[in-house]
Amino acid sequence: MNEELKQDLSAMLDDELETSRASKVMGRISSDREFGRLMHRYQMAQELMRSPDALIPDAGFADRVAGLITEEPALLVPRAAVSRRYRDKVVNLALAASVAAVAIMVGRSITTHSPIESGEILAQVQMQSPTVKASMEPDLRDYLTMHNESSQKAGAAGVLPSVRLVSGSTSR
Amino acid sequence: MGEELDEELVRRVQQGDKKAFDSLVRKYQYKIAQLINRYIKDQHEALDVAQETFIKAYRALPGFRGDSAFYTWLYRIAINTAKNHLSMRSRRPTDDEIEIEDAEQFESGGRLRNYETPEGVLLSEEIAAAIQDALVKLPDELRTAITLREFEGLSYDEIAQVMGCPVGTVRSRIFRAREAIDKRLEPLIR
Repeated sequence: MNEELKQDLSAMLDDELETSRASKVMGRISSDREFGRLMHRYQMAQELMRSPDALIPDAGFADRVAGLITEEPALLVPRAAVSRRYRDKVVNLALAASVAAVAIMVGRSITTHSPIESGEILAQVQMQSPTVKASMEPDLRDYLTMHNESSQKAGAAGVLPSVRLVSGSTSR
Repeated sequence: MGEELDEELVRRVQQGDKKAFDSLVRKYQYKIAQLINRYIKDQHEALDVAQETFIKAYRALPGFRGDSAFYTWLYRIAINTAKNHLSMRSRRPTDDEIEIEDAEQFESGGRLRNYETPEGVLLSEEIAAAIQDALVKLPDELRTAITLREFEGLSYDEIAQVMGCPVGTVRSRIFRAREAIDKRLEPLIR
């Protein structure tokens, strides 16, 4: 049996494995009886270490449940009814992606019409953020303030302040 | 990470994938058995109720919207199923059995009485003894890692900080400890 897969199984039982790899492990458990038995033994050892009197389901417990489930109708829940928490996560990601996309488009538009380098424009945008002002080194702050003054002439004023500086260094 | 895996598995079950439900059963069978055993001391009865819990959970999954984590939702079904079982048998929980609030704060641990057959008791004791013996014989770093994980409930990050090693090393040590223990267990279980 693949050592890496067994190690992934061990980490999954501790909730310490990334979801994508955990899905592969669970898929293998469903299809490989030997691997399923290994999971059973790992879990048994876990429970008995914590409590020597623990009730241990026998090796066939999950198979019996699976047998009963085959007699149940397959579920088909409409997509609109999926997990609210999952939907919220997706919506938040979509919103963040939209804001980033708009900021990039505005940044590109300004670059097209302005002689100022896009990096400086992003730095000017960053300057608008009160959070950034509070945390910025004095030298960088002065540098950006000087360039910010020219942003009005370049027509870059009013660019969204929420764009992140995706790369950069405080060294000049 | 565990919750994300559960969410994915639940979504798949809700779209007709019964194997995904099998994965959830295998993941939670021990926890549900322990929980129900706190209400129902007879081992066979407790496992029957655990089985019934999973069937009820499967049937109720179309109504699961993810307002809570899957495992807390499943635990609630287990507790209700155990209490219904006791009601139907006209039994009241004794002073030894825990209240629902205690069950909802459930942590494994605490001694539970076990009404197995004599042969079953012997095997359980043998298995528990084999695990303890394997633990004692582990190299220090493996024993420390598995002890911090199983007895202290530390995360891999926390264990790495305690042991002064990378998380990957912790992961490897815990796995090797489990392998060593499994070598002792496998002949007893087969």
